[in-house]
Amino acid sequence: MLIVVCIKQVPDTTQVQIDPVTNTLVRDGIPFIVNPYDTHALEAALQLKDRFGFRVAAISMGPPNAEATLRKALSLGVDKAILLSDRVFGGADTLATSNVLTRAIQLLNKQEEVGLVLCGKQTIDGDTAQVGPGIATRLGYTQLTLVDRVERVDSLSRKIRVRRKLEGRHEIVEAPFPAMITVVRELNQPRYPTVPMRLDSADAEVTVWNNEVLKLDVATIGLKGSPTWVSRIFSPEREKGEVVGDGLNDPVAAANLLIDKLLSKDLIAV
Amino acid sequence: MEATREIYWNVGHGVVWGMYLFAFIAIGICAWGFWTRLPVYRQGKPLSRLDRLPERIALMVKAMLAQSKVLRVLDPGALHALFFWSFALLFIGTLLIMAQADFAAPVLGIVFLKGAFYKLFSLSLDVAGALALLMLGGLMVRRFFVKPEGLQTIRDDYVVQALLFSIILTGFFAEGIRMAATEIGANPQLARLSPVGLLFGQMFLGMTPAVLSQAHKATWWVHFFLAMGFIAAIPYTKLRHIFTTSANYLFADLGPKGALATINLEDESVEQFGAASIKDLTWKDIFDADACTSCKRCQDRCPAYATDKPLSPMKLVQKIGEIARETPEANLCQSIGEDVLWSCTTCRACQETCPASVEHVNKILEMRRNLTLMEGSFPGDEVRTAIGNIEVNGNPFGLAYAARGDWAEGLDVAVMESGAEVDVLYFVGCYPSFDKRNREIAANFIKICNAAGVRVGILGKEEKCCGEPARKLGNEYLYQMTAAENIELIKAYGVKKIVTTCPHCFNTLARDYQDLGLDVPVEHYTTYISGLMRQQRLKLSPEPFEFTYHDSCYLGRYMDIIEEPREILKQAGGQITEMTRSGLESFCCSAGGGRIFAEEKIGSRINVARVQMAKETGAPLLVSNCPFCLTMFEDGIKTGGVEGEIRVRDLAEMVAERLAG
Ligand code: SF4
Ligand code: SF4
Repeated sequence: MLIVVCIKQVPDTTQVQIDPVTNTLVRDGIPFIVNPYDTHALEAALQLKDRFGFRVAAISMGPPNAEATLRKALSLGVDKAILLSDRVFGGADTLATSNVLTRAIQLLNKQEEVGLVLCGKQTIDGDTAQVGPGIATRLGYTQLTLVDRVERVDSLSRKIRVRRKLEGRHEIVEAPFPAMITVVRELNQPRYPTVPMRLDSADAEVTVWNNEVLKLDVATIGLKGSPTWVSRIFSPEREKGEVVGDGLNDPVAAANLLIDKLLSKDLIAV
Repeated sequence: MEATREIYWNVGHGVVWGMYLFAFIAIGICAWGFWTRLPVYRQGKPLSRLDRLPERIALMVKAMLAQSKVLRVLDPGALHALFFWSFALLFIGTLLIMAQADFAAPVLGIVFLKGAFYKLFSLSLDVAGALALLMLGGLMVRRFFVKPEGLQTIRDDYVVQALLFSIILTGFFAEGIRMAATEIGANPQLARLSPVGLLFGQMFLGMTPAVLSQAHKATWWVHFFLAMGFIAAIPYTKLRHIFTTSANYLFADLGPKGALATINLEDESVEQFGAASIKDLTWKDIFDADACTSCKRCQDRCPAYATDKPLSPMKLVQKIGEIARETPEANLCQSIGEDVLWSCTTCRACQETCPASVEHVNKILEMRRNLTLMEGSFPGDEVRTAIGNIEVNGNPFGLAYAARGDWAEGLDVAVMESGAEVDVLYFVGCYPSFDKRNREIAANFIKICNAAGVRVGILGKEEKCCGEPARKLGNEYLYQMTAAENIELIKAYGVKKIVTTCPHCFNTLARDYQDLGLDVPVEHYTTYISGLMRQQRLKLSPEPFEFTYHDSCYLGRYMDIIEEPREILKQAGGQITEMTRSGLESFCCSAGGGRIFAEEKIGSRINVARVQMAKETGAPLLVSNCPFCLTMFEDGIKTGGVEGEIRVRDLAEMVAERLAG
């Protein structure tokens, strides 16, 4: 059985600045990384591989240089890596992206039955969290989003039970295969590639599928297939912080207040 | 009558056959003991340690005969050295007697143990015996009564000390009885030249010749068998160090300090990186365990041990020996413990002090290599993040690499990219590039260079982490990746000379990068400034200050640069009060070995301990020469609660404030 992990190459946004004049992202001299959430999805897939012997495929839609992202996945231990790259895919929004990824997964499913599709909960450059659910919908898979723990996988009855991290609560849900799962960072600690794997991955094959392979209607992909239109990107005015409690005279109460505040804004978790 | 004595008096010359038979048996048992140990060493990988043989032999002779390494710590080194010399003299004396009685006299008809030479012989052996006994007594008191912290006493110690003690004692008894029977009455003048023998002999005066003869025979044989027992016991007890430690001097690492084998990552036949099991270490790593004398000097100086981390360099070395002998198939890193391996700051205090030339640090690094390269393991998530950041951004902070040169804005320094002509390339390193406090070092160094009329260039955003912390964490892959980029750049710009403000960058560029093809002279800013001052290019107007000085591990122990920084600070008007641990004996700041990225979760804080030592000098100022040290001490002063009592500053800051003109 195959687990497909959708990954994306993104600029390291901790360093991205917005050009105040043009209101666009300044990407000059910014290194690319694997979308951090996706690294947790990869890790989850690899752990299932280690435990149940599933095979893992990583797919990524992007320009030719996104191959580096797939090599990274190979160095971590995925069995195959497929780059979905074609000029006509360019400029895609989440809808068009979902269309491409969905078709790729369908093709993979013809080669080897797909049991799970794993995605990061969102990307750090788009922050929409739409692509995973978009794929699930188009594939007709059950979708389990915001997973922070895999409770149980039953490879015989082909079911997966997971815990979802919701605002202020958890939810434990179960779904039959095939299912699409999006993961949050708390799920696991991604492994670090070993050197033998890195060296092997340098020679491993990254298959490239263009639209001649996917055969999608060009009206549904790329810029043409993207109804979303970005009107403006800008840095928000920073809100002035508020003073919480009296740290000088009652530091314990102030700390408690602060913790409650952070909890209520879901900035920290218990 | 000419001074001499009858050898084999009373026991008769006939004993030689039995004597030699037993001697050969004893030597045989000894040789067998070492022979059976060879396969243990052979489990390790090959390593050439017999090149440059004359140099090695000279080193060995010096360390053995002059006891130069042992004497670096006088207590108890002096006791050991005096014991060694006197016992060696007794041994030579015995050989002379053998040569005289069993060879020179019967075969050649020559008697040399007579007259003045015999007198000298007799006196020196007596004195040597007394001295040996005295030293042994001192060592016994230390081991069994004083019991210094951390000294482990095992079965061997009882056996060895009892053997040595009784050998010397029975020797004196045999001598005393012989003298009581033949010398004290007949030749009192000669007897006085064996003062200790005389003392023992007096106990037996007045006994009948028959009793004396019986007693002498018995003592003589006991003495003889004890001596044979000593020889036979060598490989089976700590006595083995007589041979193994001496051999280790011969096998010593003659390379530059801190040299670590550069892994060939291109070699596709290699499947194992680092040491996962004993066979991935070298034979020398295993042999070291046998050369170790359990003197615990390394442990006494280990900052990790001193702050309750699970690491003791002594126990680590011995554990490797134990694994090699008993469980060679075991997983090395797990048997030793990951926490043990990650605790090391690679400060090199252990290796520098070891009187047996044991090499601790590279063993640890080889095991770390296995952990990092083969298992992707880290001492903590914070380290994983830092390493990931170096890989993506070329600095551990995860800050934009494009901002690496921003600190230099407004300063008189050229960025190499611009094609400017420069005298030196300043390799800045990550901390002075990005860390607010450490940017002061960089800015002040530029100020100093400007004052001396030196044109300085930097690589700016093209520079990457030198890779040292990654390498010391075992991540040879990442190290070689960033090193290759730096080297390519430095070569492309045709740099003639490099100066660093960081001792870690300094060691890495000057030594480690050579293996990767960089061949440009590299200096640390302390010696560079010292050179500028000597050439009169840099003049200081001294302003008095009191300080204590911290020798960073990588400048002091690794590079032996001890005096120059002190001299600069003195010329700047400084009045130094040394810490007890300084120079080669300096105590780490805690940041080496990549631990700068790691949270210190086990035991107490090393940097706080060091700041405390600095505070004890009474000096209000601690001067350091390393960005890592500066970072650690700034933190140690805060967490140690000594803010306001002591400050830490970098040497560059002190100098820059005192530039003349
Ligand atoms: S290098 Fe320093 S920290 Fe490491 S074992 Fe030796 S003394 Fe301890
Ligand atoms: S390793 Fe060296 S310093 Fe440490 S106990 Fe052994 S002989 Fe002494």
